[in-house]
Parts: sequence; structure tokens; C-alpha cells
Amino acid sequence: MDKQSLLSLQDLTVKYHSFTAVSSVSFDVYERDFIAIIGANGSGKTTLIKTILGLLHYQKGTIEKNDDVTVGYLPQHTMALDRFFPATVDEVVGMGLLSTKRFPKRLSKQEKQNVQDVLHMLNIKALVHKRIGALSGGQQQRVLLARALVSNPDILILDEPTSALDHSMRKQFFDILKHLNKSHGVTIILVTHDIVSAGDYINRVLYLDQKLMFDGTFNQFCEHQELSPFIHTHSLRQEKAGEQS
Amino acid sequence: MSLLQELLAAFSYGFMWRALFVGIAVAISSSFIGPFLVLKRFSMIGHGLSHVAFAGIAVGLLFNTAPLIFSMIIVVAVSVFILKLNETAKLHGDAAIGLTAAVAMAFGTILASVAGGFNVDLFSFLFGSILTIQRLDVYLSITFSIIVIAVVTSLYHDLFTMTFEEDFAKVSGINTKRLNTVLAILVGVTVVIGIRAMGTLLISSLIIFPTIIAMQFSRGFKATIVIAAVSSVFIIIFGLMGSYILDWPSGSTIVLLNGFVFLGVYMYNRILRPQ
Ligand SMILES: Nc1ncnc2c1ncn2[C@@H]1O[C@H](COP(=O)(O)OP(=O)(O)OP(=O)(O)O)[C@@H](O)[C@H]1O
Ligand SMILES: [Mg+2]
Repeated sequence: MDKQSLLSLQDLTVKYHSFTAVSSVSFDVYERDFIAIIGANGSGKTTLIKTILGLLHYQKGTIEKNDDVTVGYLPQHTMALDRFFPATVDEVVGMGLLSTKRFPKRLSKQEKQNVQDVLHMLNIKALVHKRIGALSGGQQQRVLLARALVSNPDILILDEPTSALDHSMRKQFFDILKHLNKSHGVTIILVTHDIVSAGDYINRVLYLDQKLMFDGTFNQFCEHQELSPFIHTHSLRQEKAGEQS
Repeated sequence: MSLLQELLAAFSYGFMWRALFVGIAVAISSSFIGPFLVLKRFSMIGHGLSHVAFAGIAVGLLFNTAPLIFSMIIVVAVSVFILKLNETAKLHGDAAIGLTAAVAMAFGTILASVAGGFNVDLFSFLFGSILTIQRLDVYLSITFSIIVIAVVTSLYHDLFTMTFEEDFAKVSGINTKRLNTVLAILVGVTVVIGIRAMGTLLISSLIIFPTIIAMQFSRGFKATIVIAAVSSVFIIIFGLMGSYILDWPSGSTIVLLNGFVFLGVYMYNRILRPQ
């Protein structure tokens, strides 16, 4: 099967002043990929995706993205939200559609229906009139995911979306992503420290440590114990073995 | 003379009407930009700019040209300058504002002392005086507040998105640099049109108070703006009338009234309202 490349990075290097955070990274993102980007704290994951999103300048290399490929974004540290910020869930989700529109910003019937569908899928319909700061961390994360989804993006980029979620919520969240990936054909790039939970869902692992150290399937990754001193590959293997038996 | 009679008498003078028109115009426009500034943690820009306005007025008075128009040009320019300083020099917003305010105030007071002669007039610019409001001020404030309200309304969603989360706004294709510049210009304009009624030292409170009063009640952003505007208009009307009856400076009276209202809704929320 010939998959189409949606996004292509060549020899990408990103620096903060003289400090190199991302060095010579190259990879392609194909249609319907479900990618996990992993790496220790400070390994450049957020820097990499912010650069892809056009939020940071890069010093070397190229990023090629077709102009009609749209991107949805769920930032890291959603918990840093101002608790007293006066914005209802409604208003926050609406941001996802309205901010890409020109004046006068009106939603079509189709779009309103789409918003309803997304709210339903994420189980946050009952929250729409609440203040976002009054929600729990997991609820906030789902609201922000809804915001990223309402515009029907081709690629969804999520920076540690599950960090505020408990175990069962985490599984629910991954199930939603899987559904989006399989049924709606959304390409997903997921930054996570939780490779154990994500393992069942992804088709590719990118392991970053300033440079791109590994790019392959999850199974292949598990074979490379030397790659990841920070992840307990040992327990990972055991877990996989347990699943297979 | 009873209080009512005294008030009725006040409205038989042109200046009271002029004060009301100017007051309502500035109350609405400052409430329209207030939430964006307060929530971007940039509300002190109004305070800094009012010092600059003071310097601008001193220069204007010195050359005997229309002080407010003169001041507006300078204030808008400095407002954009503070923003750029904040963006490029990695200076924190409050530091950039503090520096600019102090330099402008120093410059203004030196001008005033060197030139001498306009001390009385300057006092009314500092704390607001409804007696000094001219017909031209009325036209200016109404025109400019209509501009402020129209710009905020038409850019509302982009401004809201940027205030909530600048990175998300950028990813959505919003030109946040340009939008911040627009916001800086709007603040500059609002500060200057508020000077007659509020005075340069007190105008910034008109940007902050209505927003935090509204935030005690509102859940949504749009609601915050609407509640802020409505409460600010009421407070300014009562403040202006109080200022006339008590013969207090109008800006000071309005600020005090804002303070009382805020305290009232705060206490109500914390103590009386069932959770
Ligand atoms: N704004 C910045 N200015 C200077 N250095 C930065 C900045 N942001 C990040 N860095 C540095 O760049 C490196 C990569 O940071 P980045 O945020 O991309 O890491 P990360 O992989 O996302 O980490 P985490 O898992 O903690 O989120 C770190 O060493 C960090 O100190
Ligand atoms: Mg990160």
C-alpha cells in the first residue's frame, strides 16, 4: 500500500540561542499514522512539535507540509490554565472552529452538528455552560481535545494529553484517539511518557533524545533495550509477554 | 435645596450632560478592552500609559495646542512601543510599563515646573474634572469609543482566542503580532478619552474594576464584557452625580464607587451566596 506523506521533516535543527534542543531530525508522517513521540524530560519533544506547528523558528533543515493539510493541536500544561478565566466550555470549544474563519464568523448547520457530535463522543455535553476553570483536569483535557477536533483536522498533534488522567480515563482517551484514527482517518502524533498504555494503539514510535534515536514499530522498539534507560523496557517486555500468553 | 432639586439643577447646565456623554462613552470602551488586558496580565499598561498621557498633556499645554489630541498620538505610539519592548527585549510587561511610566512622569513634571503657570489646569487633568469638559471632548470621546467598540466587536473571536491561549491562536492562523498591536492602539485611545472625566492618575482603574466586578458573576467571556460595560455605565453615572453634589473630583469619586461596588459583590459572593 502506498501511503501519502502529509508532513516531511528533513535534517531539522532547532536552537534556543546557542542551546541545541533538536538536532538533525528527519522523518515523514504518513496518512493514518498513529505516532508516539517519546523521550526523557528535556529531550526536545515539545520543541519539535512546536516547530512543526510553526510556533518556533528553526535554524536548519526543512519542514514540508501541504497547505491544505489542517492541524489540530492540544498543548502541554493545560493544567496551567487560569482557574478564574471567564470562559465557558461552549466558548472554548467554539474557538476551534471560529478562529480559523473569516469575518463574519458564523457556524453552518453542518458545523454545529459536528460540534454536537464531538461533544457527544467526548462525553462533555452536560458541561457546555460551565466555566472551564471549574472543571477537573480530565474534563478540561477533554474540552481542549474537543476544541482541537471540531475543525476536522487531518493531523492531530497532542502534547502529553493523558498526564492529568486517571487510569480508566486514560484508556478511554486512547480509545477515542483510536476511533478517530481508524474510523475517521485522522493522523495522530502523540507526545507521551506513557508508552506502556499507548503501545497497543500506535503504529510507530519515535524516540527522541535531541537527535532522533529510533523510528519504528512498537515491537521493534521493545527489542532495543539499550535505547531507553528511562523507560522500563524490562517491565514493558513482561507486560507484552503477559498479554500474549 | 433638596438632593433631587440639586441634581435637576445640575442637568440644566450643559457641562453635566457633556460629562455624562463622555463618561458613558469611556465606561463602555474601557469595559470592552478591560477583560483582554486583565486576563493577559497586562492591565497595568493603562496605568503606565496614563503617566505618558500626563506628559503629553504637559507638552500640549506648553504649546497651547489641543492637549488631548496631542496626547493621544504620543500615548498610542508609546503603547505600541511598550508592546514591542515586551516582545523583543524579553522585558516583562510590568517592567516595561514601570520604566516607561516613570520616565514619562519625570518628563511631564519637569516640563510643568520649568514652564510654570498651568498648575491649576494640570490638577484637573490629574484627577478628572467635569467642569472642564468641552463640546469638542464630547465629540472626540463618542467618536473614538465607537471606533474602539466596533474594532473589538469585529475582532472579538480572535482577541478572545489569543487572550485564552496565544499559541493556539497562532496555530489557528491568527496573526497575534498584529492583533496585539491593535489592542495596544485601542488601549492608548481609551486611556486618553478617559482623561477628562477620570484624570490621568485614575483612568486605569476604569479598565480594571469593571472586569473584576463582572468576573465575580460571569462564567463566560462574552458575559464578562457585557456585565462589565453595564455596571461601569451605572457606576459612572452615579459617580458623576455624586461628584457634582459633593464637589469632589470626578475621577476620585468614580474610583471610590467602583471600589465599594467591588467590595460589595465580593462579600456577597463569599459570604451570602449559597454555594
Ligand atoms: N523557551 C526556552 N528557552 C530556552 N531553552 C528552552 C526553552 N524551552 C525549552 N528549552 C530547553 O530545550 C530542551 C528541550 O525542551 P522541551 O520542552 O522540548 O522538552 P520535552 O521533551 O518536551 O520535555 P518534557 O517531557 O519535560 O515536556 C530542554 O533542555 C529545555 O531546557
Ligand atoms: Mg514537553
